[in-house]
Amino acid sequence: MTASAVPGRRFWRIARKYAEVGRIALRSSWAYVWNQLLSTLFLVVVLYVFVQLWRVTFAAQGAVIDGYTLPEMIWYLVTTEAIILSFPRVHAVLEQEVKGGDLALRLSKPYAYLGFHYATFLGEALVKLAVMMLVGGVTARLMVGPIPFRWEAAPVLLLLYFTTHALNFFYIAAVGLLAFWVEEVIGLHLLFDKLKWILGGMLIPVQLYPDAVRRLVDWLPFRHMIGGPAELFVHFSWAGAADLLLHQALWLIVFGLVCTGIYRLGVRRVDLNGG
Amino acid sequence: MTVIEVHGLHKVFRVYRKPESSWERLVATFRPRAAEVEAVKSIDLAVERGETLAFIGPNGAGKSTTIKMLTGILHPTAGTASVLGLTPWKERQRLAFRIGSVFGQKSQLWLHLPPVDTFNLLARIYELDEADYRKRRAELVELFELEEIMYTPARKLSLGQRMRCEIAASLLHRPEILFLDEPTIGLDPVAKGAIRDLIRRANREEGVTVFLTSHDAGDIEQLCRRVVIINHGQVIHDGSVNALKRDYMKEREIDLKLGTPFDGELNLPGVRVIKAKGYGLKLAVDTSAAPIEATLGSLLRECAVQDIAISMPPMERIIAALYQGKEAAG
Repeated sequence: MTASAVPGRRFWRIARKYAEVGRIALRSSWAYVWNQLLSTLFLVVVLYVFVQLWRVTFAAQGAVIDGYTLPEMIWYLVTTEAIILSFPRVHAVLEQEVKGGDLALRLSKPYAYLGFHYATFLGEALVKLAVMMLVGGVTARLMVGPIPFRWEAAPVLLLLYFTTHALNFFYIAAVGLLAFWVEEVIGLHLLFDKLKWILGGMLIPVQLYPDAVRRLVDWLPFRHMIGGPAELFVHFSWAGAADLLLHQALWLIVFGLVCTGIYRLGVRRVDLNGG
Repeated sequence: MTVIEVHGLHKVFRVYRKPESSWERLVATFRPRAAEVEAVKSIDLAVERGETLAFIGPNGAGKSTTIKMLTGILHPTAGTASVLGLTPWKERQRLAFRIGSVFGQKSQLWLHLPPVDTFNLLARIYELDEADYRKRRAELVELFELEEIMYTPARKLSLGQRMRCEIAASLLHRPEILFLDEPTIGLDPVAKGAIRDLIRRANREEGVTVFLTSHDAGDIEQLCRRVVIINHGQVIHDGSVNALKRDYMKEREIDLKLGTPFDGELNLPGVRVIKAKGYGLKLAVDTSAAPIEATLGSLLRECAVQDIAISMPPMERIIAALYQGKEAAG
């Protein structure tokens, strides 16, 4: 009944397991697609405000600022906002499971807890990303016009979204899993999330940051979690994509080890008292 | 063949007390004040393949904690356990392929999707062969009468329908042991009966070992052959359900609403008045002294009965009677 002992077949069975988790999460999230369309009103307002601000800035500075034209700057913002707004509330879900006892349900099944959640949140995020890119893209096109897009790069960009999602997942999941020790993780999440936004280039590309801050950002993971993929969306290059993937892979190892370590320590001391 | 073997299983929880004043909160940040709660105190237990065992006790007795240790969810503070030859908390995933679990208060169904999607997902999670899965699903759909609800979003199903799906889903991978934590909680009597019938059939027809916790004496009486009672984290009784019924579950409670106020006169064998107030009357009936049918017949003849409800005595009273019996014997 259980998986065959042949290693290759076993690998595919495990891969299909998590792929199915992602697919089901995507279908479940699709049930809320109209709610998600409504929630994009916030994105439209943000884009409108920034278009006005950047128009004034570009009028004063010239047609190109640090390699970005006005449409490119707005499309960059659309991409960073889509990455951030599509990311589910991982910390809150994990905290709720640890505190509320749903962890018992998860641990009674033959899958890796973190693997299950990565796949679940990826499925949810893909629906949100599609909605955000659609609404953000239409808004940007109406306000500032299109930018050249290299369609041959689309599969690479999709792959980069998966790795970006994984990096963000492990980063925030590590915060959520601190619920094994602390009463509330919301404060910690706010701190870690804002750090990521500021140093990751959420509102403007990091090329526009002062030199000292940019040098610091180069040593940190945050640019690879938000700004890096958005820069490639606007200015795609194969070398840039390879460089980003390499950096993401390195940071994935670090975040993956930290998150798994926290999970393993935490699950040993889990206190699911009562039913 | 023994499928569950437990020796000296012990679990201590650390419960952190919330400080009241700001100063205490500041101190607690560096030196948290924790109290230790012994949820399970040195349990020994052995379960044979194919048994139907009721693991019961009042709230906070340690039932769910024990189940969670046996399914690998919780790590014990001390003691050993072997479930199907595996140490649950060390080999959780390997064990999960061979056991099923239903937590009455937690749902494994995806609420916005029909049960068939959850079944498909579980087939992948348990790494079932496609053809084998389709055959098994068809069997369970027929057995649990799920044809009409398989394609309805789970959020639109009644609690009874959802529980039928939950149990069917937990049997999809043909588990050798089924852990059921309050599977009939919140169900109406008809749904309870259906769920009990399905669990009984899984045990009889497929040889699944059933490990059940419940507050409902009816679950134990109708489903299980053996009962282990746990209180304050310790096993206080381990014996057959028949013996428990004979000694401690022979009473039934009858609630009556009368057409005229109760006059205080009732002379029926084995019947004791628990409470009488105005038109309401609550009786305890010892079914070993007189069959319940005879008592009911007499009540309907002698009193102007407008409404009637019969129930088992609550688990707390059975346990209290059990303690009294042991003390008297000791």
